[in-house]
Amino acid sequence: MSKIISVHSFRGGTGKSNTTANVATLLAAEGRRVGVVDTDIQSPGIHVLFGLDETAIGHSLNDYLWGRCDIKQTAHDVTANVGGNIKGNIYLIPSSIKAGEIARVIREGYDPGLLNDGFHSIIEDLDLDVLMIDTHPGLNEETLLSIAISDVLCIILRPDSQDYQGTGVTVEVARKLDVPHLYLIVNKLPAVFDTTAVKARVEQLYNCEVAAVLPHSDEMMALASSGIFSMRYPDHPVSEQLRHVAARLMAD
Amino acid sequence: MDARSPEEPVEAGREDGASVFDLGELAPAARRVMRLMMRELELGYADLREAMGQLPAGEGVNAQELDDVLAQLTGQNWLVVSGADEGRRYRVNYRRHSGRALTQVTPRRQSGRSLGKTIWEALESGSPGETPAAGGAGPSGAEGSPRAEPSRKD
Repeated sequence: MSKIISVHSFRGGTGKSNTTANVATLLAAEGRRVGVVDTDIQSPGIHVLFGLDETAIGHSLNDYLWGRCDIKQTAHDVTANVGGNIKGNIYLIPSSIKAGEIARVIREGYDPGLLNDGFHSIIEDLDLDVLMIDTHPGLNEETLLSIAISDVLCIILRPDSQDYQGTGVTVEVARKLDVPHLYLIVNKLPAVFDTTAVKARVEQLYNCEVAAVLPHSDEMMALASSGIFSMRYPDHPVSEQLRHVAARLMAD
Repeated sequence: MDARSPEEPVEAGREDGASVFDLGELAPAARRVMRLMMRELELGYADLREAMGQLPAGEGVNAQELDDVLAQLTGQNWLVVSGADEGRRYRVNYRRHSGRALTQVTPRRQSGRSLGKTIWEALESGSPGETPAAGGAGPSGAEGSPRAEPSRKD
């Protein structure tokens, strides 16, 4: 049975898309067929990590939601773009980066039932092992829907008081929606922090397993979303932790 | 799991259909049924009964509870049913999604300078090549964007 994994953060800039792209790539590297949906319709960006030029985006998720095409037509095979030895496949369903289309979503909305239909159809059409949903920060309808239908929810936070508070809200919602498996990832931890202590503290605070504590990385910053970090720096401690995350999310 | 077509009867009652916003307000048994339905989109009665019976101890929904919940959820148009008796099938009926709060802001401004409407119209009428985001504008920016101006040290 296919697994649906949502990756969420209450606030923006936590590294949600970066983590999603890396975990998706690591899962595909092992031979899985992985779909990635960018439901951050208001501020899409994960296509950049997968090296998908916006001029190369034919149909997007927006087109599907407005009935212009089938969901399968929005899937872009980006396997060859990520580098490394990928035994499986990565299919990206990007959101439109055109200002007018983003505005239209905000202005007119869309049918959330159609989004859910699309998730199911793409799993079936592409015979996916895993569907990863890169969500919009905060809590809106598509995010709540993604959380509600997920087998696994991964919440990313930074060691920051605003993130701590917002993460509490998301954890509460996830528990209310009976999400089967919930994990936290602490990202961008400054070197002055003790990793073990932070992990223990966060787990105690939310009564939830921390799948990984990812240290701040200058190399990651320098890469600046121009590629998949774990493929460029496979021996880096961050890549090691990302491999642990990928394994943990698939373990249940 | 075919995508819903406009001809299907689920369009009826869309104004009061299911919304994930209200999922947390349901009683536990109804919430478990609704969550499974959202996950699977469409299920037969027998599959639903089996799935509810397989939930961990203390979370299971027995046959009578399930019937009560299904009657409640179909009654409030969260689920639509087709077929009859043991062969009946259920499908989620999502509430129609009608715009965001910003949509309501625009008309109020129309009495003034119609600023909101003008912005939306300008964005929607622009061709992809005209939008600042399109055309691969990187750090150097597209023409007319602040980044296109002579650089200045912060």
